[in-house]
Order: sequence, then C-alpha cells, then structure tokens
Amino acid sequence: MALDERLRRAIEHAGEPADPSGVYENLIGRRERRRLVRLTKKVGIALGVVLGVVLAVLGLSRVFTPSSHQIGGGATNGRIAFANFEPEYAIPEITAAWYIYTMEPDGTDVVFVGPRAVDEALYPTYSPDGRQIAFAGFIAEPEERALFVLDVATGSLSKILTLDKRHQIDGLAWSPDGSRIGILYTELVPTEPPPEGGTHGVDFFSTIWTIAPDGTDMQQVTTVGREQGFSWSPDGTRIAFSRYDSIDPGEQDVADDIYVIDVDGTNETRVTRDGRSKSPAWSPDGTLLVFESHEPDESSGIDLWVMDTDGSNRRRLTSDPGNEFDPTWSPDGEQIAFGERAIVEGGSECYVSKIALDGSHRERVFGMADEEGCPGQVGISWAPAVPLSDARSLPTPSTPPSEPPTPEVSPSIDTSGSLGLGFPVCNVTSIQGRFASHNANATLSVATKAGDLGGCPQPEEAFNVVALDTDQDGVADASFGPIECTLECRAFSAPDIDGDGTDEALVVQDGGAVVGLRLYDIVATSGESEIVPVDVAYPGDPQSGLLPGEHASFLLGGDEFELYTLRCDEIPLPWGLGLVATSAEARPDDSTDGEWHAHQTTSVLTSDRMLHVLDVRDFTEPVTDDPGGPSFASGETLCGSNLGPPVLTP
Amino acid sequence: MRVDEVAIREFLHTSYPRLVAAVALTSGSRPAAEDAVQEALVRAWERSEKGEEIDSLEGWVTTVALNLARSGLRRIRSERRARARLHTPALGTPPTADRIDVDRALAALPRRQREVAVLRYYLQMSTREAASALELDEGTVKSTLFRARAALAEALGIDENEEANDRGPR
Repeated sequence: MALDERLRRAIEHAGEPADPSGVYENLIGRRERRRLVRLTKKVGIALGVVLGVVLAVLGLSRVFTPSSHQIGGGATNGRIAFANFEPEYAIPEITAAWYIYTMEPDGTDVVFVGPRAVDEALYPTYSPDGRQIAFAGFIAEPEERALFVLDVATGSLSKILTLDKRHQIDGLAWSPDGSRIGILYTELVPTEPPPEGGTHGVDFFSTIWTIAPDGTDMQQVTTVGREQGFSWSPDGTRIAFSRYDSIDPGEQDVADDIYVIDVDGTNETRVTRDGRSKSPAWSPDGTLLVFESHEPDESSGIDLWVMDTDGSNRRRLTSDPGNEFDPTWSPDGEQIAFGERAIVEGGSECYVSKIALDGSHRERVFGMADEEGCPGQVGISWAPAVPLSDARSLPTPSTPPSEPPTPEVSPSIDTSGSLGLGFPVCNVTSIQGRFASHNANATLSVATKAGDLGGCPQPEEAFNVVALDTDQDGVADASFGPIECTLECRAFSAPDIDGDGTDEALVVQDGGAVVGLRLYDIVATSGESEIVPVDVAYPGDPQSGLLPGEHASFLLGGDEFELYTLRCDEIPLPWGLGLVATSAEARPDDSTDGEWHAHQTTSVLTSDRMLHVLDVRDFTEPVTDDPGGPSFASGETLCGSNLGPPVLTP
Repeated sequence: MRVDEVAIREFLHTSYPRLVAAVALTSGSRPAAEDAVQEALVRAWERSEKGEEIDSLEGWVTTVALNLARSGLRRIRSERRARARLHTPALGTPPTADRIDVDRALAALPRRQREVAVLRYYLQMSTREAASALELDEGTVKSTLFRARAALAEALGIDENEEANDRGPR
C-alpha cells in the first residue's frame, strides 16, 4: 500500500466526526450574542479601566450601603456577591465574560461591580468583615491571570498574586479570621494526550493552597491534584473539599467525594464514599456541611444535601429536575445561597437562589438566560452586614496633591441634584483632574437634564451638559452645553494633552461600534473658568475624522480586525506632547496572519485651543501574536491619564 | 454563494462533522475545534447577510476555523468552559491505541505541517484546495506535505521504502 494511502487511513481513523445535532440552535444563539456584543462591547473595551473604575466605584459605594437585613449584633446577613456572564463586555474568542455582581439577599439592588480593570472576574469571596472581595482576574492583553483584592469602600484594586500562563485559579474562599485566602490553584498542562486517552491538549492539576491577603506566604494544603470546591471550617483550622477520581479514561465521568483536612495539610479524612458528593460549604456554627450530590442515575439532576461534618445525618435539601450547585451559607447560618440551572420548556434558565436550612422559603433571587453558564457557577459569597457607622464614613476618592494627575471618579449618580445648574440632572458621570490649576483637583461632570416628570431621557434625546466644579463644593463653576450624544455621554478622562501641567477633558459623546471621544480644554483666568471645545485647525485630516473647524473627535475601540487607538507621544520641540490617533484594518479579514493597513494622524493642542494636525501617514505592519498588540496600540497611559493596561487588541 | 439557513443546515449535515474532526486533529482540542468551526460559520453567515460573496462556504469556514483554533488563548478558554460544564456528561468515545499514536505523531509536527497533513489526508483536499484554505502557495503546500509525510511515517513506524516497493518495477 502506498505511504500516502497508509497515512490517509491512519489519520482517517484518528479523526472523530462531530455530531451536528443541536449545532444550528447553538449558532443562532452565538449570532445573537455577537450582535449584542457588537452593539455594546466595544464601548466597554475602549472605556476599559476608566469605565471600570466608574462602575466599580458606583457599584461598590452601593455595596457598602448598610443592608436592610441588618438587625444589629452578631453575624447578620449582608449582600451576596456572585459571578455572572456579562455579554456586553465579552471579548469574542477570549472571554465569556464573567464579572462580579452584588445584590441584597432578596434580589434587589443588583449592582454590576466588574471590575472592568480586568476582562474577567471569577470566584468572588468576601473578607469576613465584608470590606473586601478577593477574586480571580483575567486580563486579555497582555494575557495575565492574577488574584486580586478589591476594597469595597474605595474601589481600589490590589493584585496580590500573578500567575504564569500555565496556572489559573478555579476557586477562592477567604478564611473566617480574615488572615488567609484559600485558593484552588490549577496547573494547566498542555501536553500530548495521556496514554489512557482523554482531553486532548490540556490537563488540569488542581490543588488547594492558602495565601496571606497581602500576597505573601503561599502554602500548599493538598497535593493530589484533583481537588475541587472547598470551604473553611469556622475556626479556620480545617478545610472541607471535594476530590474527583476518574471512572472512565476520558474523565467524562468522575466520582466525587468530600474530604476534610487540616490547614497545614495533615489529618486528611474522607467524609463521603458514595462518589456523588462535592463542593462542601461549612456552616457558620461548624456543625454541618451543605454540598452537591445526585442520584446514581442523575435522574433528578444535581441537588443540595446537608450532613454533619463527619458524614452522618445526611438529608436532602432540594429535589427537582434541575441542577443546584455551589452552595454558600448566609452569615447567620439560617439560609443557603446557591446557583441553579432550572429545566424549563425548551431549555434551561439560570438563577442565584436561596433556601432556608429546613428546606423552606426557597426563592429565586436573580435570574438570567443560560448562555455561557449560570450565574454563581463560578462563585457565590455572602457577606455579613456592614455596620452603619462604617457606611457613614465612606471615604471620598481623591487624588493626593503630590501625585501626578490621575482621574478619579465620583461615586455618585445624582438623580435628584442639580450640580448647581439650575435644573435636576441624571446620568451624572464625573472625573477629577487638574483642570483649572496645577495645584488643585477639580471635578468635571457630564450630566443629562432630567425629564419634566422626573425620568432620565435617553442620551440622544436629552439636553446634556459638561460641568466643572473647581472648588469641589458640589456646585458647577462653569458649564458647556448642550452636547450631542448618539448613544452615550460620559466623562472619560482627564489627560494633559499639551503637557502644560493642567488637564484637558475627553468626553464620550458617541458609542456603539467604537467610542467617539471629544476633546475639551479649560480656560482659567482671574478665578473664572470656562469649558472650551477644542476645534480642528485647517486643514485637519478628514480621513481620520478631524474636520477643519469642527470639534476635535477621536475614535477608540475596535476588535481584532478593525482597531482605533489613541495615545500620547513625545513630539520634537517646540511641540512637546502630541496625540497619535490610528485607525487600522487587518487584511485579509478574519485571519490572524494578515497585515494591518493603518492610517495615523499626529496632532498637537496649541494655546489657541485648536488641534493642529502635524503629520499624516499610512503604513502596514504584520498582524502578530505580540501580546502588546501592534506598534500603534494604545499605551498604558494617555497623556497622564491612568487607563490601566492596554485593552484594545488585534 | 448565499449563506442562509438552508446552506448552514446543509453544511452542518455534510461538512461540519469532518471539519470539526480535522480542526481537532490540528489543534489537539475538541472543544476548541467545535468552538472555532461554529464561530467561523456564524461569521460566514453574518458576512453573507451583509451582502458579501463567499465562493465556497467549506473553504471559507475551514480557513477561518483554523485561524481561530490557532489561538492558544481561545483553546484554553474553551477547554475551561467545557470543563466547567462537566456536570453534564460529555459525549465521545475513548481513543484507541492507534488513534493515540496518530494524535501524538500529529502533535509532534510543526503547526503548518500538521495542518497540511490533516487537510490532505483527512479532508482529502487537493494541493490547490489546501493552499487556498491555508493561504499558502501550492509549492509551499507540497514541500510542507513532503516533510510532514516523512515525519509521520517515521513516527508511526511506516517504512517509506514500502511505497517504492508498492509501485513495483519502473
């Protein structure tokens, strides 16, 4: 037999044709998701960290609001944090994307926490005092996985552990005394298929570790490598966890059992032996474990069960055809929150649900469509109520005078105030910067005039205004409007574009496929300030949208094949700093081996408040896998604005 | 051609099963292969709806799916999502020893050689079709296939000389 024929037969035998049933329905869902993403995600990507801070701070200030469930004294129930699929911010091919939400235990006041400084946030776990949330973060470009701790009062984010590309975090739990964070730490082993078969390409080796909240002293607890969901004992000395054993070569079916181990890795005890028990959560009083289990034939899906910590007195908590998973106790020990995939006609629906320990009062408190997974599937955490006195002392974000100008974001959405404009406003977004003086912060806000009946009109139909509060007294000292908004108006960034030590303002006045940014300058003379839109000097560069005589507008955003970037560059004297705006298209489209065809405009802001185009050039460069993106990618900062890591990727 | 529901369903019935298998052979990951082929199909569908002409749906989807599957990042994410859904028993037959040998032999090849070999031997594309799908010239495909062929023969313990013997006296 010819070699070619022998190879053909060998490879033919190795290929396993896929089953196309149900795929068409998948495609319909995928197409709809892409449509939604196109409509909205580029706004999110381009706004990146800044928007993330806005949302995080807005959200977290509400997180910190005292819970209506607080009754004073002892462990009372505060908010529930959970990870949820957020289609608006998904990056096709890269993220699903999961972000952290919080809500009151009754499902009200749902807040998107993000944080958008990362491209995915998984496994949120509250510190025992409810003041911090640890989570596993993923940043797409440059690719990075890390363990973060979010301060719920200030929104500040600390990266306490950076993982290399062969590791990821698959679970987190903060210890009851707050001194350690437990980590389900997974090594991804991209190897050839194991001899017994199974998942090709990547093997998972998950063990439990603990680390101090400052990122030091990481210590291993388990070593087997097949560990899964885990939970601390209330005294912090032991950890309950589940471990799976393969019962077929492909690991498509596994046997799960629950174990308990001392935090130092000794005294491991097997609690269950039925092969159907996993993801234990230790009750606050230390006497019970709630866990996932199912009938041998999986006829009723995955249910929740409760047992004593030694495995005795096992009893069923839920019983229905859907799946209940990832249980977590309320701080008062009376209720259990969990993720739920409910079977409904034509498919399934997802919820964060809760149930009383006696099986009563089952309630679905947050729901959404079952797309990439169910809310809570990758983390639910229930915080104790935060004392009222703490909430009253909510710190106000501010920029230390000695630091370089960094925009900070107002934590309030003012739906009833007026900013001193003489009319009620809504949709207020703010940034802080050195707009009027080298030495003092001022607050620049974008707001919408509230409707006559008190509602907030859509941005494109509304009277929108930019307002500046130079002395931080909550009353605008200068304003400019109306400004046009297509989809969105939002204060975006306070960059010092001309390098004179005071900030200009970039305001989002457009949204959708890419973000449209308008440039404003602040004129401050004799204690009076004026907001001045920066216009484009003749001849501009019409190809890049810089039309002479028109308001200077830049685009930012795009996807892997069409990209708009904006960054600052040093320009030869006498200019100093300049803005470099690049639009690029990858050709051929839908190929990662193509070439960027880029159009780049360099411009400077002069003292006449005009933007002058200095240089225009067209060039090409190969599309590469460089995690830093193409040469013209947005930098980490934009003229001093802290925009975080690059989020615009080819 | 117009890519509509009829064309998609036809593609799913005729080409999808083997294309997923082929992309899995080149990428080493079945979840990533399914993800990539479905994503490519949706993109083709969207493009057609926007009025763009797609000459060959199979060729276009093959090219784009291979491009997408090359992204290691995408593969890892797909794997993780697939694993997150382990609640639901997945389908699939345990591989045989022969298949594991072929998987290993393919995995040991450089990416381009692996792709050329799979397109030629599994999808049975002509040199021209493979060149088009991989956006290479035909000469590159031929030289790449020559190297892949020798490496596969060695890895699988096939004596290349048998080929000459098979041909008989010249």
